[in-house]
Amino acid sequence: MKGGMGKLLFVDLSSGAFEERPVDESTYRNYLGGVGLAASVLYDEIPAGADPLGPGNILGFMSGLLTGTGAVMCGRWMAVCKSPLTGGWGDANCGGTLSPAIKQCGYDGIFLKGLSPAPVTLVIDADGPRLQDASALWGRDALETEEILRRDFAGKKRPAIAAIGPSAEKRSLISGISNDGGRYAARSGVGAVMGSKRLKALVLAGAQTISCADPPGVKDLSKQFADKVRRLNLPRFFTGRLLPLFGRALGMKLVVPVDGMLLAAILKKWGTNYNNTAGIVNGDSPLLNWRGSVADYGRRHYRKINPDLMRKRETRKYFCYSCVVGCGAVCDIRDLTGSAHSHKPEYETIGAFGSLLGNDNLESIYVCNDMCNRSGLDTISAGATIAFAIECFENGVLTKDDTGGLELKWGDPAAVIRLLKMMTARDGIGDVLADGARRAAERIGRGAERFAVQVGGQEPAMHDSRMDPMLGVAYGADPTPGRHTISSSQYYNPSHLWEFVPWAPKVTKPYPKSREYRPSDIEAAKSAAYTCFKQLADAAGGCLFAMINGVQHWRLFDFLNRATGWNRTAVDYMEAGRRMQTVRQLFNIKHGIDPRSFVLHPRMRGDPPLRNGPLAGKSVPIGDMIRGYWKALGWDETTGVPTRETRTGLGLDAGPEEETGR
Amino acid sequence: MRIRVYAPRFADHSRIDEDGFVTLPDGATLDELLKTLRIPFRPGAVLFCTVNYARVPRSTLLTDGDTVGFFALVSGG
Repeated sequence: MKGGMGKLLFVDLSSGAFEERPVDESTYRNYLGGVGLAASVLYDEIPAGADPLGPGNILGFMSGLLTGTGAVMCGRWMAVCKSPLTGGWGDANCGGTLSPAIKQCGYDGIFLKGLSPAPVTLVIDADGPRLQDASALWGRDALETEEILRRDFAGKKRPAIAAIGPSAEKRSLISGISNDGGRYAARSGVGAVMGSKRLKALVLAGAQTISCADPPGVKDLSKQFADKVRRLNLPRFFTGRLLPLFGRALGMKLVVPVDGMLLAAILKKWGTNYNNTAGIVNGDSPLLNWRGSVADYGRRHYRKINPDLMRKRETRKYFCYSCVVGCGAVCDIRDLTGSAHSHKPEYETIGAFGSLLGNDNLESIYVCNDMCNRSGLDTISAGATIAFAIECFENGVLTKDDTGGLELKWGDPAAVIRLLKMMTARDGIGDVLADGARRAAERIGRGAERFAVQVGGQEPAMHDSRMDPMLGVAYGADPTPGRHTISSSQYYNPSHLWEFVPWAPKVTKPYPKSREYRPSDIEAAKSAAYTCFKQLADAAGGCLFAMINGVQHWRLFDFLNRATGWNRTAVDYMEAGRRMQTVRQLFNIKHGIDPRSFVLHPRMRGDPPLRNGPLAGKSVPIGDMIRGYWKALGWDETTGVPTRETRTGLGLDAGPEEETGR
Repeated sequence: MRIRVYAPRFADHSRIDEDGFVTLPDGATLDELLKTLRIPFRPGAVLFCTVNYARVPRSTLLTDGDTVGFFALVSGG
């Protein structure tokens, strides 16, 4: 077969030893690459009870099976580990430039175990892998670190670099890993794991060829997709001022089939920022720590974060490797921070530091984004934890004595920036908040936990599960809780999975939105199908936005066959996706996590419902919906444990002896 | 011929089959598709429509397998 590199690199940071391990074809067939391959390795390699910040944890950097084969939209990489934030499976997905670089070094993935006695970088080039002293870099921010490493790299090839900043060095449980000047693998606390190992950066400058079984066939599929993206442009009159109307249309009571390619046109123009106004009017964006609505953050606020305003600071569009959409951009914020090259804040960041905090000061959001990119804090978790702190202060659970005299209130950009600075430095109350809302609530006590909107320790993203219940299922049932990129109705409905996978429910006719709020076999099957599809795409190195465009456009199943030389059906590939998801769940169970322990904060399920806004009165029967989802995946619907029959059918001999009765 | 259609809420969805296609006689135009779906093409209703991801005149002849999308902000669903 083609597409894979045939081996993995293991680095023991304690001893400095390197080991290459082969990957055989049956492993590729069962797990492809990326997250699937990682799950199959880490399930076996990380012992139960391993301290996520100790030598027994393993941090992986994974490329995708399709990366570098010519398949379009397949440039994502993933950091994988045991999460210090949740105690279970941890992963974080990122664009940028690292994915092909991993394979060009000759590997499908790089795994680091042990703890280095001193700060190091891992360098891999034509001379192979080596560890270099990084003591002089320790303490520098992630962007600075990358600039220095690139400048000092002696080889001819421009290296791809992944680096951590001071927050990860200080083992903030909500820190991530930067690539290419601020693209982030942010979630699950992967940065803290890298910091715990005293691994400052990866510098990858290999030049090996990545094979492909049918290059003209792959190229043809890529060209068809790219041509559609190129042709579809929004008319000039469609400015940012119309986005609230667009958002309202998306939030209507009748759901109609949509063509996911429209998203490409929107992303080309605004990136994900289009949703920073659209999402407020339809309820997608949670407001004021999930207790507010558009009644609290109306037009006079959200017009100040209009994405057309953000375009004015863009100096160029940014395309991840193999992307033809270019949802990113680089911005000039010299007047704000001195930086002429800063990655544009994404929707999540603007939501987390903007509407979630009642803040409409766009400049402050750029400043917070830059601070997080440099220090390494996950913008979603940082903003969500600040929202928690503000509500604690509002209710007297935190006082000025706790905050060092800083008064916290909604809509105060100066206070947000000061508090964020304290979190990056672990200074005073910042040290309490730097590990996320759940840990902060545990340390503060005094009933603070009622304001910590989180699930399983992970703060949810800026997408409201009360608007999209299928998203709520993902928040509560995925082995990585609180994640918005696993599945939702908004992703599933344009996917056209049903054209290739007979068991995937069709969405070809309008249906009442209210159907999504009732547990049903259809909704459960949608959740299961999209989850399997997501694992498959992650294993291939694929981009979520390409998935949303629709698999009839981004022909993932055909890409896989043409790149590898396999001749497999879509159903077979989806079964591989189910296998990967099952191993991720088994990892959690091995590490002592009861799937039922991932309980959504009451606000996330509408308990009680909001009284104002587009989500007024909405609540979600999450428990029943999760049980249906587990059943659809072939897991015990009461416990979430993959059944013995399912494990056997998937060829897994791992798992608990007892299926039920826990 | 079968045309894949993504119609706005206020269209006549009974004309769209279970697979998301509309069957039209060969040689039908985009305008005839609009009439079949009872979509008024005016400001405030449909903002624009595309055939195979390009904006084209309503007189455009459709061919079997074309994809037609509509973009509307206002809906009546």
